[in-house]
Amino acid sequence: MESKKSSLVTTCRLTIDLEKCLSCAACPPVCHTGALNLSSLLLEINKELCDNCSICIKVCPTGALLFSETTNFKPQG
Amino acid sequence: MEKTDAVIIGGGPAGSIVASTLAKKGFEIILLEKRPQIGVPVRCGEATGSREEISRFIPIDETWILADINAARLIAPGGRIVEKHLPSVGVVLDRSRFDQALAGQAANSGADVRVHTEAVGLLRGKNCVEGVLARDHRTGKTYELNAKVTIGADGIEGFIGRWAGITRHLKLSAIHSAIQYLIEDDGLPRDTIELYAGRKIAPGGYAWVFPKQKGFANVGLGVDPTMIEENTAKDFLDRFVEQHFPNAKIHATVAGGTSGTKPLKTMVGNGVLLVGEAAHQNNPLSGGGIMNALEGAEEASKVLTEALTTGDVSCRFLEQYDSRWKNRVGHAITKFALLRKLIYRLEDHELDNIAAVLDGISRNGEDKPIDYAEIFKTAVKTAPGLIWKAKNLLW
Ligand SMILES: Cc1cc2nc3c(=O)[nH]c(=O)nc-3n(C[C@H](O)[C@H](O)[C@H](O)COP(=O)(O)OP(=O)(O)OC[C@H]3O[C@@H](n4cnc5c(N)ncnc54)[C@H](O)[C@@H]3O)c2cc1C
Ligand code: SF4
Ligand code: SF4
Repeated sequence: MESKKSSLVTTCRLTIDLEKCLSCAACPPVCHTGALNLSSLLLEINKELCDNCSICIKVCPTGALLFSETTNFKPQG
Repeated sequence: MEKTDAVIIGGGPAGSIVASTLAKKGFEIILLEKRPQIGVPVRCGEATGSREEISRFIPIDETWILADINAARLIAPGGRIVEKHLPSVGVVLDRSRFDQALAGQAANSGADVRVHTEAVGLLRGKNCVEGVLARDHRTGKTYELNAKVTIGADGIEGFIGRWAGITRHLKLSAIHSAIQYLIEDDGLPRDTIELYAGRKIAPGGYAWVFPKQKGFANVGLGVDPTMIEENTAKDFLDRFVEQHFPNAKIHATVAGGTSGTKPLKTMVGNGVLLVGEAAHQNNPLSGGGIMNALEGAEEASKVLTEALTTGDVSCRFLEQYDSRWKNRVGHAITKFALLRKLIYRLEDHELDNIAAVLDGISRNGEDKPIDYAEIFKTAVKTAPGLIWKAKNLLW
């Protein structure tokens, strides 16, 4: 389940639906680049680190994580 | 630069018990918790061990005990119910209050408990961790905290271990994606926990009903995120609640991840030690981690006391904790990790077969706690195809 940098996309397209995010801490531990962090109670994405691997989207219990557009994207999980 | 004997990152059960134990011995302890309030929001089903087990760590206070558990009901996919009478086997907690009581105990023992304060990096000496960089979210200020030993009790997030090079990110298959509602309904069980198994209910996991105060229960489930395709854990929970509690009122939602993996090879480095869920001490089959965090903290505290007394915080010295933990709980966790892979991959009809055998065992009046090794043996005997699955996983 390890992921590699995608050559198709270079900018992070991950977005957080703040209405759905419960700051539950399930996603930071699966992010292999360390791009996700709950700073106190708010989930933050370090867009420079994220490589759009989509792993965090799969772990989120509430479906709060999504990509802003899906063209050019190939899931690698 | 501020100096202390030990800095503990994370104000959950693991961090608070290490803090109170070391503070009682007279060491200078700083406990950092990034959230504004200890234990809030809750990320837990709140069911745990018995009053007797808990009272080894903190005197029982009825304000954080919501229900006593005296029985467990396993519900197989086909509907067969296997009930086991287990007098005083556990309790359901008010987890926020429980965590606050544990942190209070640490503070009363002399630990300096700092909320709103996040560890954002490690201070590194020559080949040794020497404390953390801390950020106070109220003032926005970042400061250095120098410590003889740094303790990662930072739960599932576990960045201390990652920064120290002890752990890596969790693989998707090594985490349960979990969600729970606090529901209000008529006819909820009072002193019985219910566990529902089945691929359609919770792929790679199970659903639970844990009674709280009268008329209320935590109803939740955990799934293996590699087994749910496009769905989320919430989709499965919504379906489950609709089926089993159609008239329930939902009061609150809790979510989270729990680690479902075998024990770490080592939980220590030079000047650094991990404890609780940060050290993957959870039961990988059930996801339960409260008692394990308390026991892990107890073992960690013994070794840390000696390390701070002698001044030897080297990896070689701290490694005693690895073997202590392995002997006490770690070996069992290895088995549970294998069982997780096996049991959660069973087809529904195979689970039904096992439930039938278990039903037989419980009807024969054997009043023992649920023994997963026994379930495993039964599973291998009764479910066709299972020996193959076991073989591929175990050998
Ligand atoms: C939905 C769900 C249901 C569960 N149900 C049960 C159950 O019924 N029974 C059971 O026994 N277990 C259950 N668990 C597991 C249990 O909650 C955990 O295993 C337990 O809380 C582990 O305790 P801990 O002290 O190791 O970590 P935690 O209780 O997670 O505490 C870690 C703390 O560290 C803080 N922290 C993290 N990073 C930093 C940082 N960089 N700086 C400062 N602070 C930081 C966090 O904010 C957190 O407060 C459940 C888990 C989930 C997600
Ligand atoms: S998409 Fe991948 S790299 Fe980006 S935040 Fe999610 S897990 Fe991390
Ligand atoms: S897993 Fe989902 S709900 Fe939990 S912190 Fe991440 S985005 Fe928020």
